[in-house]
Amino acid sequence: MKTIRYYAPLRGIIKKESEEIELSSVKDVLHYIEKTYGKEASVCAKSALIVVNDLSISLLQGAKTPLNDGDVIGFLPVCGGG
Amino acid sequence: MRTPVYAIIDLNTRTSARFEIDESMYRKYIGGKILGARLLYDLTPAGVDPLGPDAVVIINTSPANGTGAPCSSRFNMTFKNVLTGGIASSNCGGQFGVLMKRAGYDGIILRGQSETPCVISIVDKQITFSDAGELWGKDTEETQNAFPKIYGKLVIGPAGENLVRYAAAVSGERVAGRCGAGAVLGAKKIKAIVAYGTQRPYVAKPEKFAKYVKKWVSFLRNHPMTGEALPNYGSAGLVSKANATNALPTHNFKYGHFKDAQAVSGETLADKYLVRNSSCISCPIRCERRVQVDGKEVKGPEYETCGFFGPNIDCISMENMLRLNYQCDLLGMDTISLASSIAFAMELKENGLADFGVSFGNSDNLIEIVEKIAAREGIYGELANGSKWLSEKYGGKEYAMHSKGLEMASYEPRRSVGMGLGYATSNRGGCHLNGGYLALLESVGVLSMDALSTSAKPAFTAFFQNALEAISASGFCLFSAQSFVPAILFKLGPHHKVTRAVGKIATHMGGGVRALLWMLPILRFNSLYLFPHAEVLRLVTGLPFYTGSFVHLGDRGYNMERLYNFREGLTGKDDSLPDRLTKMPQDPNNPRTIVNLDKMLPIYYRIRGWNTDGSPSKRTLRKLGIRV
Repeated sequence: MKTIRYYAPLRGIIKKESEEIELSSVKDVLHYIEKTYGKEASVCAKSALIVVNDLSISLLQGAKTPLNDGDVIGFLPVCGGG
Repeated sequence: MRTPVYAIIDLNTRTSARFEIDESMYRKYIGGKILGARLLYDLTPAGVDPLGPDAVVIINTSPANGTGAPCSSRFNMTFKNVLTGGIASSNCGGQFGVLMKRAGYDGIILRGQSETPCVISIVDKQITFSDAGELWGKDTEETQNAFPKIYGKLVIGPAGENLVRYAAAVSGERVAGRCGAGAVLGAKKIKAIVAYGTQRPYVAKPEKFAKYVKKWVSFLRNHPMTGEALPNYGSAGLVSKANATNALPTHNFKYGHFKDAQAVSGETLADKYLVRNSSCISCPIRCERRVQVDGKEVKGPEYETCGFFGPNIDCISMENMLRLNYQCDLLGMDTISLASSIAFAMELKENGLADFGVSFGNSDNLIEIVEKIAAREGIYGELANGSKWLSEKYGGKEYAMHSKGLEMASYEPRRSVGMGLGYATSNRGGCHLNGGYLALLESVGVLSMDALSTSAKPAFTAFFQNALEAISASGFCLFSAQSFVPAILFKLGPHHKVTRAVGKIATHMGGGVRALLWMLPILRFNSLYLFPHAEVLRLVTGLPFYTGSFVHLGDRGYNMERLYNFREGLTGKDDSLPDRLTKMPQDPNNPRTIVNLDKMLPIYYRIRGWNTDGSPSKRTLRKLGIRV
């Protein structure tokens, strides 16, 4: 099992904080979100900072990043400024 | 045009005199930290002790302060840096600056040393002195509560009284945190400065100004960064972003990723602890967090505090962090230098070099220890001197995480090498903001240049150091500049091919940025999307400020600060970083994960028009109109 964690603003659309899924890549998760929650959620998910086990998928294999049991996929708000 | 009015306050005699800044100096240096650097250079001899009677402290505002322009409440303190011995400017969003201006003064210059603890009151142009009496020894909250609510206050806590080298000055719940702003007031035995008045700030073109401000506020509210991300998560939202790119200092900067970082992230703060958000005066962004600490609503932590009292000491207790953040404000201490010094002490213990009773992974005893540091009690008095001092006594210089003596902010430069160059060259020491804040373009923003490449970083660093210098000196919060990244990129997201392409292009745009720096004098336009600050400055002062001359102003300020540093003995040799960052790759399998300063520094000096020893060349000073 893998866990998806949603943060604002995606959480506001999906109305869930997290869920368990059985998918094998980040790309599959993005498809799942589009199919299950619709276009708005899909656009929002794609514009988020996507992390697998707290690491940006940009440092991994992008959307092709494979998912293993126990992995946590997060959709974080893009933010900067400290 | 109206030139700024200052008061020179002599604490030896408890007298004051009012004067106007000369018009030509005003036109060149405007206000805030840039005018502050010029005045400090002129008013103090070389080699003065920052905590001695001959030291000068300048507290000043800028033309935009109090005008109602967005994010324009920030005032500045300039003084000799207690930690580095070079220039210090510390910026604060509290009400004091606006109220001092309403009281009839754009700035005050403090000289001498009071014999006994005192309070300075600035009310409707009148400056009076009184004994601090029982206020001496009180925390910053109790001290501020002793004055009418409508007053602007700038106070110190016990840390400032005890000359903790990184003591802060506090105004409301905002803090002039860095470089020892509280210590220099403590050395002068100033417990509090309070101000009140009703004078309206000068605006040269009020109607056009009001229209432009409306437009700018609307732009900020509709931008994803300033209208959504910062209001929702504050700066603490950066914890998970920095962690996602291995740029979150962990275990005293040994690593860049902390597996439990979510526990102390902005998201967790928002989900579990946030009561509401709030703001400084005239700020539409509202990034301030309000949280509950032991049943009381107080200001929440910023990103730096989350990073340093969290991953950098291997701790995941948000409750402890919230308490420590509040306690530091009460005692009047900079959370960055304090927590970084503690992390260094933890590593000293780990390596068997010294034991201050602090260990990685344990923040339970820190409340008690921080209290002792503020009181300089026993061995904890040594922690009050900062990590540079500690490393000179106990060793461990290669992992004492400061530059020039000022502890670095919470961005791991080995995953943000432009930020590393910024830390090394920053005039006030290891500061991300004075350093140009390239981390925003490399590791924690929506747009990602190649964070490990040195290409273009010297040019971008110089450009943004100048720009941030000008924005700060004009009285604006730097968050108001975060809207320069086009909103469309936030909508596309960091992983979209267009966003990635823009990042890649930026990595190779060094030549373009260099050309831009050369072209500044002819860039006679203003844009809401680039630096709206320049247009506001033009409308407020009536002076011909445009994008080019605005950044050029920052360049002048940066060089002025640099001249001060050179006069005080800080040279190009001090543009350095600890060996941990320059010689030890963060990822042992990736030799690129270091900061290659040797490669970037000569290019950076050349771009700035500095000599090979890092000093500003005569030609550059002539070009900038700086006479010394």
